[in-house]
Amino acid sequence: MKLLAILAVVGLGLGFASAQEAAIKNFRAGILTKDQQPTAENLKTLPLFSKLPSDLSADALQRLYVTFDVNEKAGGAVAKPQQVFLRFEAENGDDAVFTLNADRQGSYVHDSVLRTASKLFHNVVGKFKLHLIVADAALKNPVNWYFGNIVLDRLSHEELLPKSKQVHYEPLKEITHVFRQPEKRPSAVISDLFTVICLLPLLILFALWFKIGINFEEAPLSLWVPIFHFGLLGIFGLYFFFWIQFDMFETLRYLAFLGFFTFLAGNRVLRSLAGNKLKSD
Amino acid sequence: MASQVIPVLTKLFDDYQKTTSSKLKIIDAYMVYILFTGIFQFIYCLLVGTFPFNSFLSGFISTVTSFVLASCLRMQVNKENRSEFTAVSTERAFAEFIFANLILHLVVVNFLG
Repeated sequence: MKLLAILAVVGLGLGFASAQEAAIKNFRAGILTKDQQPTAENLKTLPLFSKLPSDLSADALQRLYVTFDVNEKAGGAVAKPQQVFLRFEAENGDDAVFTLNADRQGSYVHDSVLRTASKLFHNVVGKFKLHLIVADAALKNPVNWYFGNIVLDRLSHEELLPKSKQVHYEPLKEITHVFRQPEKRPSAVISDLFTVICLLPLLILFALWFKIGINFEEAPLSLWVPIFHFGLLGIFGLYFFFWIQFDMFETLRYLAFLGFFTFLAGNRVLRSLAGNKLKSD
Repeated sequence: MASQVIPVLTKLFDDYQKTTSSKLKIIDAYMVYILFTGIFQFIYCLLVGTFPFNSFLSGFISTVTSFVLASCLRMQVNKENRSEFTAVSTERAFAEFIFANLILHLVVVNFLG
């Protein structure tokens, strides 16, 4: 009973208070760029319950700017209704609601960068209906005014979600290795010239060796000597083929074979040389 | 200046010719050959460019390392260093030189590309 009595009192109170009537004046809306100041040129003035002649269109970097005053119809004093909302309604029925607060002069301003604002309606893009809702328990004529459309584009999902929160179910693009592109090479003449120049010291080497008097007189007369030398030649020949066509596995297989005999022969040759020297000492 | 330097250099050269054993001279000639090869490769790199960089690098490293190996061989073969390398005979030094060269050039050719 007590509860009912309280409710009745409240109801009565509301009944009395709802004598107030509000008028929405100086309603202006428009799209501004990032640093643009709101002026008469870039905002459209609308009388109450009319509709914007054309759709507003904006991307993520622009701002939606809406401003209006709410006054009491009788007397023109500043009214402060409890509920002043700007409602975006998407085509699929989803909506996002922004609360508007009056400034000191009693006028309402909504000024939001759409990138930030669009987070509230989950980055859906496309056409939105714009509603202005002004209501109060004490207001006789609450307003739910559909004043125009706004078309948002380039508020792409990927762009705005942080990378850690993005989920991709489709396979990622395959990464193919790109080899370093060959640079411009010198002409064949220059390359060949330098090949010859680099080989020239070999002639100097043989000339000097000849002058010093290189000889093979000390070489012991044995079958191991040619095996050793041809083994070495063979190994370097093998390296040449390694350069031209073989891969490492083939090369190592042949090298094991060649190297074994060369090592054996070299061991015999050098040991006999050392032995001869020891004897002569 | 030049008049002072030239007799010194000629004396140095004469002494080298007289006192150095022919084994060491052979190694020296080999080292001079490697030195010039390396220098010519470097000149090519300066004038033309390093495009197949691994090729230039392997060639140049080959000369530098061969030079180092040859100088090691020379140190061990030199009779004046006998006291330091008592355990290393000339033949053993030569065998090690060849072995090191074979390993080196396997790597060089692998890197040559």
